[in-house]
Amino acid sequence: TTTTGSKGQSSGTAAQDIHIIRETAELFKSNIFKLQIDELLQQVKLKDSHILKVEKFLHMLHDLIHEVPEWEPKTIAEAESFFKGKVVRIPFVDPKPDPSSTNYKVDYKTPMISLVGSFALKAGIYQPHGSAIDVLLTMPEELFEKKDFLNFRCLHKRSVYLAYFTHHLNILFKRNKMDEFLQLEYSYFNNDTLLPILKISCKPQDSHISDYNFYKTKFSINLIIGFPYQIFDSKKLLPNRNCIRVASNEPNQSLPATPLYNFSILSSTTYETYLKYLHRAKKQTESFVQATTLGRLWLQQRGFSSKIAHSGTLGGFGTFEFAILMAALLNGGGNNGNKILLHGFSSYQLFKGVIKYLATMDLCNDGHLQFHSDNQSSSKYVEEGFQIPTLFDKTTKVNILSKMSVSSYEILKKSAQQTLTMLNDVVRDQFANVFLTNISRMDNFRYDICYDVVLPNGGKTKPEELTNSTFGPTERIKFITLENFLVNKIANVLKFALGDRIHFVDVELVGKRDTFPISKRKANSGTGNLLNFDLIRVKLLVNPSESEKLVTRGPKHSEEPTPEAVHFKNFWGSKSSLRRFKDGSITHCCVWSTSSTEPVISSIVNFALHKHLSEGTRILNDRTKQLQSFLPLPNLPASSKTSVLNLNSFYNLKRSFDDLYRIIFEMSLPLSVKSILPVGQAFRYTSLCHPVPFAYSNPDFFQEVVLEFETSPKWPDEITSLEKAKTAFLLKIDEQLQANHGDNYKSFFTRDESIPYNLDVILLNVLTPEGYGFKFRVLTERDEILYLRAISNAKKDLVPELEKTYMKFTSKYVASVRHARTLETLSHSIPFFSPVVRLFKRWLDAHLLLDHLNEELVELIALKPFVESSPYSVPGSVENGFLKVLKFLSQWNWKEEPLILDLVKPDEELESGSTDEDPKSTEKMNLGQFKGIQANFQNLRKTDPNGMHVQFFVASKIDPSGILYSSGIPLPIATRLTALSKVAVNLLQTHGFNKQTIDLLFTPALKDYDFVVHLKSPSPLKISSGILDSSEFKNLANDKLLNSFPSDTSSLSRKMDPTYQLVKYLNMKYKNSVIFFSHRYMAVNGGEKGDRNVITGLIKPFFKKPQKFRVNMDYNSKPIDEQTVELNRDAIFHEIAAFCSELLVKFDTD
Amino acid sequence: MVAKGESVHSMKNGFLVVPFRLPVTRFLPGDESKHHYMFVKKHQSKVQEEQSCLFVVNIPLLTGLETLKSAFNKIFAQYDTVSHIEDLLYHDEFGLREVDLSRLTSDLLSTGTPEETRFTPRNTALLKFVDEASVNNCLSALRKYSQSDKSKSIEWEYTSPSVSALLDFYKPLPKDYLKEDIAEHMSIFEQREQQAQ
Repeated sequence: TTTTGSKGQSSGTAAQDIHIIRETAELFKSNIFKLQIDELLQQVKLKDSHILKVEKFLHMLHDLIHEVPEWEPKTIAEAESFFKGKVVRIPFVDPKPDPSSTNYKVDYKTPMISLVGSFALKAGIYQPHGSAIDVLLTMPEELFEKKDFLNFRCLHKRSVYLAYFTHHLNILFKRNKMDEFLQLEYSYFNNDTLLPILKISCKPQDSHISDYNFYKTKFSINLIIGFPYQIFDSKKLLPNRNCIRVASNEPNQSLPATPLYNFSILSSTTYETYLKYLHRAKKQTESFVQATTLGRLWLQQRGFSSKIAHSGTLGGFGTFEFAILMAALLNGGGNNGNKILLHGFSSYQLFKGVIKYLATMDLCNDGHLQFHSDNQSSSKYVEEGFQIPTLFDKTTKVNILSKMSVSSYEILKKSAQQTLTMLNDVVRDQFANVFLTNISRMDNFRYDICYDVVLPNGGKTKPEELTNSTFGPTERIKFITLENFLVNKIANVLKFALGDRIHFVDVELVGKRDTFPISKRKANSGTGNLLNFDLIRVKLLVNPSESEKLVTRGPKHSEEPTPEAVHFKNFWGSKSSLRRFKDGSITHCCVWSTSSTEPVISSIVNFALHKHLSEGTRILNDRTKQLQSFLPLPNLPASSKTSVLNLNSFYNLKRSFDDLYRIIFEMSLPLSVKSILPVGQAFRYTSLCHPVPFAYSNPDFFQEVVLEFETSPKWPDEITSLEKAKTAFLLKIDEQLQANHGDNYKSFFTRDESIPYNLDVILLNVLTPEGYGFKFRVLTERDEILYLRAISNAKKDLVPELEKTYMKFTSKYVASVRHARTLETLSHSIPFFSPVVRLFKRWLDAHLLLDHLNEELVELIALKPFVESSPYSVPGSVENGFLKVLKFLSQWNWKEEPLILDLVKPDEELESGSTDEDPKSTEKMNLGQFKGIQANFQNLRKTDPNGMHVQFFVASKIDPSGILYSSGIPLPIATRLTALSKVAVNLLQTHGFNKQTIDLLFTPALKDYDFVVHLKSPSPLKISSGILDSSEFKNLANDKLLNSFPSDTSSLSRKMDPTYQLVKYLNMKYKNSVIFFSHRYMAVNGGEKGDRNVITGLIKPFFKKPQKFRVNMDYNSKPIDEQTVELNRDAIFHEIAAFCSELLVKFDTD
Repeated sequence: MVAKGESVHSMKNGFLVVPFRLPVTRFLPGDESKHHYMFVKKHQSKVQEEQSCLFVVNIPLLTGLETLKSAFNKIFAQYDTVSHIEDLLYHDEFGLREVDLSRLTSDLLSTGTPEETRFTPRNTALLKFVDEASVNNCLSALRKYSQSDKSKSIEWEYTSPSVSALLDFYKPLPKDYLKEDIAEHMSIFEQREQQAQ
């Protein structure tokens, strides 16, 4: 017991130590963070001159508003006739009042004018696209009756009020000659169609610029018409009450609640209340405004705003809601009303506190936060959920989060969780990821899959045309608009249909108009459209571990159908069936089929939206299929019906290896086998082509294996002899294999050229009965000693070459084992890594770059978006992962930034956001390791500041050196890779991500080279490489399935790629002056049959001008005068032409 | 001072400029005036092996002793010269032997011959003649050739690898050869090791 006790104590102490270290690291980090925040806040400050300018206008506006003449009460009919023949129209909300049956009067009396919003709170920031100043005009109480909140009455009164005001303001502006630069438009406040406002903005003036023209400040002014505080009984406007009475067929049926309508009215009475509430918080809390600014930036970069989410945005949570939540948490917020935030907190602490609250507390399903805007009592978290996001003000009865949809809340919470993880990260600087990266700029970077949904008749679609959905009176009062109804419908249908295949769904209305002329009644008047949008964009974040499953399981079958079963059957209709599962249960389910080019999700989205909207709905996505078809399709049975996530072809290869492994392990050899370590790409699922039996033309067909024997003092102490001794052992293995298993296994020897200057490396190649190939190299404990000895014995000028040789040895024989093992493990928890890295390799090979880059380097770069995904999510589709790889490359300033990867499973499932007791934290890189790697990078850059020798520094815990796989890349290759990715990302951002741009993405720019040699090989390699053309007929392909090796192994060479050897020797011959490029995978990039290739070349810039003649200049030259020579391009071209001889088709020179 | 490159006969540091007309190929624009240029100079060395040698710079692709011999013989024929070429030394077109790992890891295999320690820079080699007279005859023929009219230039005949030659790189090593090679090497190694002890 004593032992256990002390053990427990010591681990307790250790935990405490770790805690202290963590705190120190965090403190240090928060100091740096503070400096970064201060700088950021300084940068986004509003210019004083701009404030003065717009304030001058606001004063003038204030005076003008008082000049608007008052009106006498009018009927709707009288009001309408007033506007007849005038410019301005009344922006009535739907449904427009019927003048014949409307009894109440409309009127205009001078409003109370006040500034509200961020500008009033002095919490605004400079926005590159400008920002709006909110001016509140509160209608006088005398204009209302008690029951005006019912049936749109107060809204119609407001519309007339706004129109009358606009009409006169327009006249007043004209009278003061300000119509030259002022622009008046109607808009909807926060996209709420119930809330028309007047928006004033400025146009530029060429000459005589008015003092009141605030165009340059980029401000606009929102004139919001509010209702007086507490004018209506707020209890009657609670979210669960009905305030729009409609005739019902069944008289006894209670009418549905009208939460959107109620909120719109109630919140129109509380603008000033909340301004005061926030103002109080600001006064009590020094850093309140700064923290609000941080919140604003954070929200903006993620696309969140105060706009109403029900009409499709990531809305309902903007700076205002952030500030209210923060103020509420300063007054409590815990389960017992304990304070979550303290007034003395710094801006960083306040911001982090709000983020943590959002990340860890549930304000939708299991609980809500209530507060008191009059500060009478403290805010409290209540464990009662309303299934809608709730931040409830007990004083005003307003739910601040009413504008949020469940979807937008879920995405907000997820964003907060991701950010909390970043804020808790004591190793890396996450400042840019939290505040500076705009992740909402391009949907395809942020979301895994997007679809454009076009209704049967586009924007002109009438509700009746949605044959499978009803938009009747009850739907109308609940959702207010058809747009809201559709957004809600689509989100719900997809959530149910896709279940755990997705994490989130977001729905956006594309082509929505925010503003409209004051001569129009509503945004879509005059456009011919019934709907205020052109199409609906559905954006999904995919759950990779479930997304491709074949069966959607529903409830269990029972004699008496349960409500769930009925719903399931109704939802899926004919698609639903009953199935017996392995565990014996009979369950309702839907069965889908996979495809090599389209995710299962696409089939489900198609089915569900057709069934629940209308058969005429078109669901467009012209990228997923197009992009996935660039993944080479293996010539295997049913490959076109195999999901990109299916790794069976790799598993088959591994099984075949396991058999061979056992055979070799059991051999009795002079030295026994210690380990047989698979290091080939197929073992870690990253080979461009799937392993296909007998497809030996594939350059990756022979998978590498490192073999180690028991240690022995007898290994020769000289490198050639050591290699010969290794070969002697391989010969023994070969002998036994042939003697005992010769019927099944074929084997032969080849020379290996992977270690420069070591010409004696021999590999044992084995062909298995299952049709796979493996090549074995031998590692001994002596190798490293000898390579190091060669370095120490060499003359100084040879040392760099020998260091390269040593590095090559290390990467090939030693590090490869760690790399293979780590990536294999990672691939299992990151399903989309395999297809993404293979597609990335395809892209690199299309652009002739792959041959110049180590496979390991390519794989590590492709891992970046998966293991260091912040501020995005871990990719959940091929397209998303691929785009993020390109995006990373396009932004990577490798001269100044190392790429440091933590090769552990990304923590997606982080619910609590706490990293305190994270069991994985031990595997993760700690600060010391991180700093160590950074120091390695800085040392490297001291000797090579511009990255002339090593460009890409890619390090992880298994390779802190960072240069193992990236040294020796010619500078032009690195810069070309960066340039190509920049072009690619730019192309997608300007021309969209679609069929055309994807084709362009994979088209090599041959014009960039100094010459291009087109080659054609006599034997096509596609079939013998195991590649299927996706257009080929299934039956035809099956006939061509490979089923054996040639009986004579020396005839294998007939179906190999001759161009590879050409390029290899050209690169060796001209290594000093020309860089050659070509496709490594002729079967993939070599045209229809896989018999084409190109060799392109870049002459190094140094050789493009004359040089002094020297004996050791090493390039093909011609004399200009007695001392000077220049590169002899003609002679080089002739040499290349002669070298390519029989393969040459065309030679382009510029 | 020579103005136009086409008529440079020798370089200031004594190298003769030896042009060869590029052969006509249908893939590249044909032009009689295009040449490959070799630079040749008498080699001075105390090493026994390297007597009667010319130092040759910029040898065309895949050129071996025989190719070079036949091209030079055409020049000799033009000027009725008698000269006998014996060997091409240190020609390492692809830079495979720039570093001798074996020698750097052990002195056991060192035989002390200049072959192991000597090399010439890339894109150069020594052309060895049977005797001093041959070297001098060759040089004087080359001198005349380099000064002659370009129209008399000899056309270079490139060596082109066949597709099957390229594919042969993929061929397995014959096992018997490999076994013999290993056995032989290992026994030499053991002998040397014993001697060293």
